[in-house]
Amino acid sequence: MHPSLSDDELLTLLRAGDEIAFVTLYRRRQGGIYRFALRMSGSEAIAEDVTQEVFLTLMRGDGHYDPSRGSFSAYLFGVARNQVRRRLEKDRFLSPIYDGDEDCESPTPESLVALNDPLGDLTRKETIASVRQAVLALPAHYREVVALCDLQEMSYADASAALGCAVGTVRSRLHRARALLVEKLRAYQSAEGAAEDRQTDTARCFV
Amino acid sequence: MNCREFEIIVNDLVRPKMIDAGSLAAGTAHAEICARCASRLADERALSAGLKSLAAGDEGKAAPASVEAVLLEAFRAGASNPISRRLPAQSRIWSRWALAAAAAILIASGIIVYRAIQDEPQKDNNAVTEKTPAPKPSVEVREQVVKESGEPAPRRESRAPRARRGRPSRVIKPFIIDGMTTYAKDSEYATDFFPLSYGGDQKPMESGKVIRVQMPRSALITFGLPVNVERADVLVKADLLVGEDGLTRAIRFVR
Repeated sequence: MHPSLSDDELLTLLRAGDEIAFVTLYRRRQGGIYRFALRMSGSEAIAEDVTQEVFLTLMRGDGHYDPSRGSFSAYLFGVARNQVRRRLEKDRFLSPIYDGDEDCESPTPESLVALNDPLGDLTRKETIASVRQAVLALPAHYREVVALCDLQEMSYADASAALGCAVGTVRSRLHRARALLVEKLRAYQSAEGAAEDRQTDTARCFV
Repeated sequence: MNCREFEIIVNDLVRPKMIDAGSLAAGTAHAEICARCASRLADERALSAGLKSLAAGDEGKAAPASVEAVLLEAFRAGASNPISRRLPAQSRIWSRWALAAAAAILIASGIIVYRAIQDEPQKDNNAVTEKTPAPKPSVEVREQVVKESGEPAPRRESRAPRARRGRPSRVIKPFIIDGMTTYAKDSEYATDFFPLSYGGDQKPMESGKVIRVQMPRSALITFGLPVNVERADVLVKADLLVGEDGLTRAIRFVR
């Protein structure tokens, strides 16, 4: 293993055919890529495929990594992002997820519904699930900035390099994405409140 | 700081690494005197806490070992054949140029062949004009249909010139749906023509032109056709049947 080497140094060795460099780089970066793909797709199968495809791309040298345009990490996330988008586009008709339409009346699974105030107690297990679903329900271009900036704790500059857009665009998308997340969590809360009211009415009918 | 300025930095207030000390202090001070912004900041903090919990919960998640095994196998296979693993940058640049050149040659030769095909029948036609009558243009056949049925029938402008030049016209497959005759390319699927009414007296159409346009898919709703709402903005091809008076008489959608 080459734990002390930087990503760029490992990449140089990898291109020369150094297997240990490849393994080091893979083990260093695969977790972040896998989690990013998982958060973007909500599917472990897609996350695995994307992770594999990202490193195959790296191995083949198809991606044209340019250090002057951003960090190696940002480059990998950029490749992963493109792979996820391609995969989601391909699977769009097979596995509908809560995508695209901000105002769509999607069903509200129990896991999405917080019990009381979702914004007041977001650390509960159920509410973490609801945050996860709310992130998945965001349109893809908002979901990716949340996944990179909030969940991966990436800087705006690195996120802009990964997404291939300006830092200002990343900031504005993140602002809008977070506002949408707050709205969605409030909507889940309202849905839960309404469901509780209906349950009470039904109970009265049977009395 | 006012509420508007606060709104701009509210995301950064919950991640101190992203904001300078002055803005952080000003934002926090504003939230202390403005209940609405204080609530907004509380929401942001709660959301950030939720997102952090989510990130922490996923921390241990990683690709299974099988992925690494597959990649290692691929790496070893590539290492035994370094050329296939990675082309040198110079070679890749040259291969791009070669592709671009091949594409340009294909396009140029296509244009030359197309022009040659178009010019050749004209010459032949001029030579035999006096001996044999020119074949009947396919467009006229279609116009007859209009007169017989009394319904608007489409005419593909792009096909008419070929007939005039004397080349044998392509076999056009008419299909009749609900009393309307339409023609479609073999590779295309077209809906029936939907007649368009403008109210009042409208002269029956004797002939017209078919004009191919693109319009948002949402236009299909107007004619009672099913539309995928998610793709409502995607353009769809349509043929407009325009009469001699310039009015669009009918429309059909083409895929």
